[in-house]
Order: sequence, then C-alpha cells, then structure tokens
Amino acid sequence: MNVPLLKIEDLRVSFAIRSEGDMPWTAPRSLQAVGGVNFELQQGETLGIVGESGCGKSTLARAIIRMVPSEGRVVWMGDKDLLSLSKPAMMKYRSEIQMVFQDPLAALNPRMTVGQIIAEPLKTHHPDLPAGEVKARVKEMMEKVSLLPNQINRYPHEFSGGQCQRIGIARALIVQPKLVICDEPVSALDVSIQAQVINLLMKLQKEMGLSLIFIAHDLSVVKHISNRVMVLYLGKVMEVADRDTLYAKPLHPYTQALISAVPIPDPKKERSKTTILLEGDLPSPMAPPSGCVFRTRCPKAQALCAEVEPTLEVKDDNASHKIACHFAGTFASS
Amino acid sequence: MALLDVQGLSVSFRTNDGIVNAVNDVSLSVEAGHTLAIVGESGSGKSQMAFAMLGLLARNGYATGSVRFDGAEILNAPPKVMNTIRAAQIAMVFQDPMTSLNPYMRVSDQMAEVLVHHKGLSHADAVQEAVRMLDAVKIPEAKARIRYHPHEFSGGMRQRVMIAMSLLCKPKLLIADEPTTALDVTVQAQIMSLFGDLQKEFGMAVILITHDLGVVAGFCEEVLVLYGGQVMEQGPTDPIFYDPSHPYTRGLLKAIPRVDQGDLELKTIPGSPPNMMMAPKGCPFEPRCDFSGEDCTQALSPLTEFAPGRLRACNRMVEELA
Amino acid sequence: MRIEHEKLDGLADRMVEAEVKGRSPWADARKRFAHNKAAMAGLIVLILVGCFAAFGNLIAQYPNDFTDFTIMGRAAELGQPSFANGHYFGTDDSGRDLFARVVQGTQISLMVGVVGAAIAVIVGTLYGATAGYVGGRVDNIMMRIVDILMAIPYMFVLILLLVIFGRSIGMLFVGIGLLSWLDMSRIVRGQTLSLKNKEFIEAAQATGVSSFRIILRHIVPNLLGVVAVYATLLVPLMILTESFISFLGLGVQNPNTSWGKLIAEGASTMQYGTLWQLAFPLFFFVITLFAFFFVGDGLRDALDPKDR
Repeated sequence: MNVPLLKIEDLRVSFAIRSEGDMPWTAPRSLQAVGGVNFELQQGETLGIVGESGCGKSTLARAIIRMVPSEGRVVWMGDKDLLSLSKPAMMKYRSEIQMVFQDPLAALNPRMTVGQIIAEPLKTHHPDLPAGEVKARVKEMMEKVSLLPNQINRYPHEFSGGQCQRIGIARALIVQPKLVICDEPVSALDVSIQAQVINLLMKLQKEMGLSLIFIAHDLSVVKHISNRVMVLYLGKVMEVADRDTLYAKPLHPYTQALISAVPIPDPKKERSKTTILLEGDLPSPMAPPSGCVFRTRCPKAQALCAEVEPTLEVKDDNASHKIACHFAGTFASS
Repeated sequence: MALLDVQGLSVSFRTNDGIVNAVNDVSLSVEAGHTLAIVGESGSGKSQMAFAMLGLLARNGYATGSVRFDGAEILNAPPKVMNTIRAAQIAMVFQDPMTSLNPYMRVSDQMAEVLVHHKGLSHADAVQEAVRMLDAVKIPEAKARIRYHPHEFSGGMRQRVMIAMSLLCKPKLLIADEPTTALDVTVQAQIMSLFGDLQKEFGMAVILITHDLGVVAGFCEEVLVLYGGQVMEQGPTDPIFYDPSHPYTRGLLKAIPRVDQGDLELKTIPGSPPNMMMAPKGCPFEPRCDFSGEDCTQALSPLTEFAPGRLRACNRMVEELA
Repeated sequence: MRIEHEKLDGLADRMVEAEVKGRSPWADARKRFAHNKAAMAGLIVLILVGCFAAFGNLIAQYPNDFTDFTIMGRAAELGQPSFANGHYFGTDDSGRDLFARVVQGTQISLMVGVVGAAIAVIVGTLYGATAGYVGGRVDNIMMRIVDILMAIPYMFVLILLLVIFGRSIGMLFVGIGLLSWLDMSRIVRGQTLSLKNKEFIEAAQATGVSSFRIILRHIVPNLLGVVAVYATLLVPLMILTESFISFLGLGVQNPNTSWGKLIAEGASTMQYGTLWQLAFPLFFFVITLFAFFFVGDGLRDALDPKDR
C-alpha cells in the first residue's frame, strides 16, 4: 500500500478540569477525552467516525489540527509529525487540512459578507494574492458549491441553513486542502437539505480528490458517505472496519447496539426488528470504568472485562476489521 | 367519538412584518389509545399546532378553528380551564426538558407540587406517588434520585423525569414534541421503547411531533405530513411509507440515508423549505416540486380523500407522479 | 431535477448579473432604530443640543466672561431673560450673560461625556477583548488589575487628583477617563468569552488566522453592538459625574463653566427669585440625559431584537 495521507499513532487528549471553588494551587483533575487512538487515512478515502455525545469524536478532530493540546503522533504523508512542528511550520499544513462545522450559521461571522468569509483562508495563506484574483476564486468556489456568485456581498443571515453550510464548505475548499474534517456537517440541517449537502460533499470529494474525515452521530449518514467507519466510545476505539463489513457484521456489542438502535423509515422492518437496549448512561469520563470502558453497559460483560482492557485487534479473517472486545465473535450478532 | 377532534385549525402570528400564517386549516382526530405522528421540517408549523391546541401560543399568536377534547371545545378556552386540562388530561413533553423543569427545585418537590395541586394529595403521599412514577419510567434508584436537582440528571434521564412528570395525573393524551431529537440513538431507542410500554400500560393516546421518519415508522399508526403550514398528506402509516402519494413525501423518503440499505444514491429535493414570513400563495412545495406547473403557483388543491382513510393535497393526480 | 437543470442553464447568465447588495446586520439595526419613535426623538434632541453647543456663540450677544456691572448684585430685578437687552436666558448674579454661559457649559459637559465614553470604548474594548480572548493566566492578571482599580473609591480619588494637581479640565478628563473603562472592559470580556466558543472563531483558528486578526476582524465587530449601547449610557453617567464634581466646587474653573457648576450656582440663589438661573441649565441637562437614555434603549432594541 502507498504512503497514507494521515497516520494517527496513539493520540491522547486530556483536559485539566478545575471544579468551581478550587483554590488556584489545587492540582486540577484530568479528564481523558481521547485515549490512544490509532488509524490511517488514504488519499481520497472517507473515514467515518461515529459515537454518541461525549465519546471524544469532536475532540479527536480538533487534536489532529492542533486546536487542542494532545500527545502521540499525527504523521502527514509519511514523514512530518504535525504535533512536533513549530507554530510557523504548522501554518503550511493548516491550509492542507480544513474543517467544516456543525452549526452552519454559527460557523459564519455575522458581520462579514459571504465573500469575505470564503476569502479569509485564502488571504491568510496567500496574503500577496491581488484582490481581483481573490474575488475571482471566491466566485468560482461559490459556483462549485451551487451558490449564486452574485450573492457575494450578502450576509450569512440572508441565507438558509443549507446554503450557510455550502458557504462553510466553500470556505474550507478554497485553499485546495488535501483533507477536510467534517464535524457533524449535516446534523443541524433539515432532512430534505441533508441529502443535498451529503451529495455535494461526495461530488466535491471526487472532483478534487479529497480525503474526508466525517464525524457524525447519525449512523445512516456515515454509512452513506464513508469507505471505512470507526466507532468510538468514551475516547476509545471500539471497532473499525470497512463500511460494508461494519454494518453487515458488527462484532463489538456496542456497535451492534448502536446499529440496532437506528430507526429505519420502513414500518414493517422497524416494528419487527429487535433493538438492543443499553442500560444506564455513559459513565463519567472523569472516572472511566476499569478494564473495558464499555463493560458497565455491555449486555455481554463478564468478569474478565473489568480486569483487562481489550486491545484493538483482528478477530476474524478480515484483516482490516479490528475490534476491541475480549469476546468478539463468540456471540452472534443481531 | 374521537378523544381529540381538530377541525380547520389555523395558527397565525402578528409580527412587525405583517401577519404570518404558520398553520393553515389542519384537521385531525385521535382515538383514545391511538398514536398519531405529525411530521415536518423546521418552519412547517408542527410545534405551533400543538401549542395552539394547548393554548400555549406566544402572545402575538392566535388560532382559529375548533379543537374538541372529549367532546368539549378547548380552543381559546380561558387560561384557568386550560390549566386544569393541561395538567390532568393532556400532557406535553418537549425537546429540551430543561425548559420545563425548574432548575432550582428538587425533582421531588416539582413532581409533588403537581399532585398536591391537582389531586389534593398530601405532600408525603404525593412524593410516594412520584417515586412510583419514576420507577415506571425506569429510573434506577428512584427513591434516592428523586431528591436530585434537574441538572444532576443526564440528558436521557432528564427526559425520563419529564415524561414521569407528565404522566403523574394519568393523562388521556400525551403530546411529545421532538422528545428524542436532542438525545443519542441508543438513548432515543430507550425512550421510544419506554413510550411504547407506557402507552400500553396507561392506555393513553400519543401525538408524536417529529422530523424523523424512522421514529415514526416504528411507533405511530397514523401520519400527518406538514409542509409550510399545510397538510400535504395524511393517513395510516404503512401506505404513506410504502406508497407515498405526495411529491414531498416521496422526495423526503428518497432523501434519507438508511442503515438497512446499500449504496443507493440519495435523491435530493432542490431548494430550501419556505420562509413563512413570505409564504407562497399556492402550494408551499411548488418551488421545489418536480411536478409543479403554473396552476400550483396559484392555488393548492384542497385536501381530498383519494383512497379509504388517505388524504392528499396536490394538483396532480397520483398516477401523474412518475 | 427540473429545477436543477434550470439552475445550471441560468448560471451562465447569472454570472454576468450584477452582484446583489447585502443587507448587513448594521443596516437592519438602522432600520429598526428609525422605527423607534422615542429613540429618534432622543436623537433629534441630541443633535439640537449639539448644534446649540457648536453654534450658540454665534447668536449670543455677549461673551461668556463679560460682566455687566449695572446688573451685578441686582440680577433679580434687571437680569431677567429678555430679548430687548440681548440676555436671552437672563444673567447670573455677577451680571454675566447666562445664554453664553449655558452654551459654554454645554460644550464642556458634552465634551466630558463624549471623551470619557470614547476612552472607555477604546481602552475598555481592546483590554476586555484581549483578556477574554487570550484567557488563562493573562486574563486572570488583567482582570484582577481591573478588580483592584474598581475597589478604589473613585469619587474620592478623583477629588484627590483635582485637589493635588489643581483644578483643570485636563485633569478632569484624565480622572474620568482612568475610571470609565473599567466597567466597559468587564462587559466586553464577558461578551468575548461567549463569542470565543462560537464556531466561526474556531473556524478562523483552524485556518490559522492570527490571534490579533481574530480579535480585530471577528471579535470586536461582533462586540460593537453591546459597546455602542453601553457607551450611549455611559455618556450621561460621565456628565453626571462631572456635574457632581462641579457641584461640589472642584470641577472646571472660572470663567469656564459646566452644567453642574451652573446648576450649583443657580441652586444657591434660588430663594432670591432668580429661578431662571437654575431653570435653563437644568433644562438642558435633563433633556440631554433623557435623550441619551432613550437613544441607548433604542440602540439596544435595534441591535438585539431577540431581547424584546
């Protein structure tokens, strides 16, 4: 296989948490938001990251572009560790990796025109570009995301949610990045608009040869857009596999529960399917369970799970399918 | 006689930019113990419709038409009447439970207050009853947790508290407005299965307001599809999903990605939902519809029954929608 | 799909179409402000008072320090307002033309208010935005400094400053300016903290926009609404402070005057039947304060329509 675009090795993110009323000298408690994540991303590939709120998926994305401090290695094109670069050296890679955000309107500065918003990354990374050239490129980009270029002087509040997300996508793509990280890009949009944005992302990916990291809590959306899918729970990878394997033959009990919980817009199927209901709530990340983090809610948990933390490994004949569960494959998937 | 019978309900708001019609001429009925879904996107007027039925409209809003509950007209009834009906007969669960729980009061006091006020129980009895209800919604260690303040519960638990609270007076009708939208899928599955259990246990009717067709498919017997304040299609669940009669419903069903299917290309509905400030004169879906013609910009055909129990509002015949 | 095709066909034509002009949030606010009658009335009053301060001297028949010895001491009989002798507002007890003195007092008071508010806006906004945006230890230190300055009873310090360094307008500006920005910086910091977590700030950070540019391009423009409202409410506060100091006799020095000083003088001779000496400066003082408050309210409603 050729050199992966991005290789994440043992990425960890912890936050120092101060409770209210602590004295300035009390040592803060630490919360591990992402605990040792490994993955590779090939050029042109889409990796879907799914998990429920609080599983660390957004933090992981921000750690890759160094918006939050982290440990581990983020290797870019096989040779540069982004985490060890100095700030000015990192600038070059900031144009290679761009991000699309969840709330389309909140991600746009209400006091700037659409043209200014889309042009900002361009002006940041190519400050010498003449104004006319910037404008031409902005207009070209707007056309690419199906916005009318003559709307360049309008303000975000004059657009609908779907159009705002198109503006966000245009802003991310104008510097021609190699990787775009989409953090829940469609979850704030209306059902009939979601499909537009998903199709647009897929079209642009093909045209520009982008790699995507697509973060979402909606498993059906992830299934639609991804080549490979990674399931996170409490900052740890539970299961990773290519899309079809993961959805057809999930081996981790959490993935199974997650997939079974997705409602299907088909009354007969939906009524006859068995949903694996998880008991209880997500444990506090301040005090994660010993051993396997999922054991407190796992329907198949056994004594071993509390003692030994399972490693992410191949459990069946598919070498790209890795599961972090002691008993994966020993019980039937639903 | 239907438990809830709504005829020609319209909701409008007076705003600085003139009168905005949020809901136009909706009729529906719910039998005791049955489930109805009101499906729509943002701005479709689905929540305002529920607010209007319960007399909870914002001050600049007003409703016309008729809402009969148990045979009695309740639309625009005086606040005092509505208060007793809301507590004891019709309960409502909202998307964000924090908006309807007082953050500074213990859950026990909030729940007991309802019973003391409406049923005349003593405080101690009321708390006991409240604990029983928390048990019913499967909150573990209900006895201890009832002493908590709302913020000490997780999102899913809070929604359970909210549901328990709405069930305290054993209402005949529960209106749930996007009850699981803010929750994760696994929690959503818990809550929806809880709704199913409770509905059987208490024999109440449920109106589920949502944008999620998947949730509707598993839970509701009847569906009403709203778009731009107009009913597009109305009828039993199965035919709406398997044989949608309206271009909007068809488009919507093709536009949602599904976990149970392989690589199907998502069909998009172009454009955006209408801005109700400048609602179109004819069919609200006309600008986005593949089958629209000149006549659609002029008027929306009235809701007509085209098959037993099924209603649709479209200028095209079902056969024309290829 | 029909629509999609139309869109594509029309795109070429639309490329050459003129660019649509946007409706900025400011333009919206202006429109809402113009609909607010009380605020517009306030604005008109302020403009009139401003014109009075700027051009009043052209109408005045006497300079403000000219003493009419024939009237001196007999102001109650001879110094009444009259068009005949050119003392439109009458004279004060020393026989000076009250019209000219009110014009001059208005200039000083407005200047104190506007300069005080301007210092507050510039210093307070930048200080607060920096503290809020940078956060962490820097924020802690910067805000503790503000806390310490706030803990000092400022009226006392102002009086001390004026006593030690002599009473001059310059000193008054320094004193008021030193103190006025504290509240502003706190308000701005609070707003910045909530802005900082907005996704558009994150988006700018993600592309590598420098902190300085983020503060200037993203934070400050979004703060201006709050700042503008607070500044219009700050101006009358500054005027009040100055008036209070002048009322105590520590403000501006003769022959210069201000509203506070004029009111003090007018009040001291109330019982001798020269009520106009109090009435004219008080009238200007009151309408100006009211006007500022109405404008401030109008601005708040216009800039933040959700609050209504």
